[in-house]
Amino acid sequence: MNQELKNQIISCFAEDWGRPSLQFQTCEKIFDYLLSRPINQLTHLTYNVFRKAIGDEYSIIELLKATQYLCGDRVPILSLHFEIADEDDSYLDINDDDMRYAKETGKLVHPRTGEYIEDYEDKVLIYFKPSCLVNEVKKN
Amino acid sequence: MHEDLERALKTLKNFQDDVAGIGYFPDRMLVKNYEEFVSILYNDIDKIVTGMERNSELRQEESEDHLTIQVKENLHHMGYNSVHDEKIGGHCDLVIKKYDWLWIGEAKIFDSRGYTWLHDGFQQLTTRYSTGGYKNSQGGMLIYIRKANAKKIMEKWKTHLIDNNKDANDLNAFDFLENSLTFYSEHSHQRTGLAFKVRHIPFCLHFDPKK
Repeated sequence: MNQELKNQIISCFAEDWGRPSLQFQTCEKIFDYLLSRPINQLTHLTYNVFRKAIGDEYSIIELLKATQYLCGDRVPILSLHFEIADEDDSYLDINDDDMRYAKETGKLVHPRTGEYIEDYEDKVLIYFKPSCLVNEVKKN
Repeated sequence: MHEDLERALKTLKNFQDDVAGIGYFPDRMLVKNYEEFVSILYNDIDKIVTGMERNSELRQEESEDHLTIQVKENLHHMGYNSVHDEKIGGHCDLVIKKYDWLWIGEAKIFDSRGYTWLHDGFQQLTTRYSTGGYKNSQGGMLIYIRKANAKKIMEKWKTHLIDNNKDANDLNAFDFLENSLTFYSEHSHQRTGLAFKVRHIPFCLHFDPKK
């Protein structure tokens, strides 16, 4: 574990949210969770996963604030990804270029059928993965 | 709430009043050029301005630096890499970086020093701090206004800016239709000759209740 880098990241949480605010704790608990699990178990992180990991005392508002913050340039420990539920309850990834195209044109192409998806903002779901910064912290 | 509903793009927008910037969060992650970066930054700054104006009674004694630090902290919460007082040709009030893109904001309280004081800030921003390259082709004036009638002040500031740049750099000013208090100026940057666009952003902090 790169303790120095870990401490730097936690110092950013403290500077930005104030220690020991609920928001600081939410960020710290998410970070601890990412560090406590092997990377291959962290490939599809949703709000439910985080909620189970950090406990019920943190609201959806705190979770939304934390994930937005942790995906940003300031302390980039999460990356944001897009997907859509398929017919058999599986999920299909949507790449960033297709999302950009959808933002520009209002049309999102279904990754399997190639058809346009109506009201795509209702159907596109977000999830998270740890960023390479988490790997850096985990290195010995 | 069902998990899939909760993490749908559209649902995020329902939380905009509780989580500043959350509506533009996915867009912020998808920006692919400098113009998009600045466009979303301005949406986010507008949210911060609205939030600070809601509590203007608390901001009557705060210094220029203190107000700018609040802007910076709000940007941090949205995930921006923003710095107050960073040295780039001088001490910039607000610097935001993403990749090798740069946006610089110059903050000024509008007070008895009037429009000349604002113009000093504009010149600092455009001739000292900004590089004027294509990855720093926009900047902002953050204008904290505690006096009444911000619209009139901004109109006078726009006239002052045009009148004092008549012979230099082909400065043009144009309104921002979505918010008539805000306007843009554009001129040839002294260093590069490229167009440099400045958004003039008022923070309406006047507070004088009659009852």
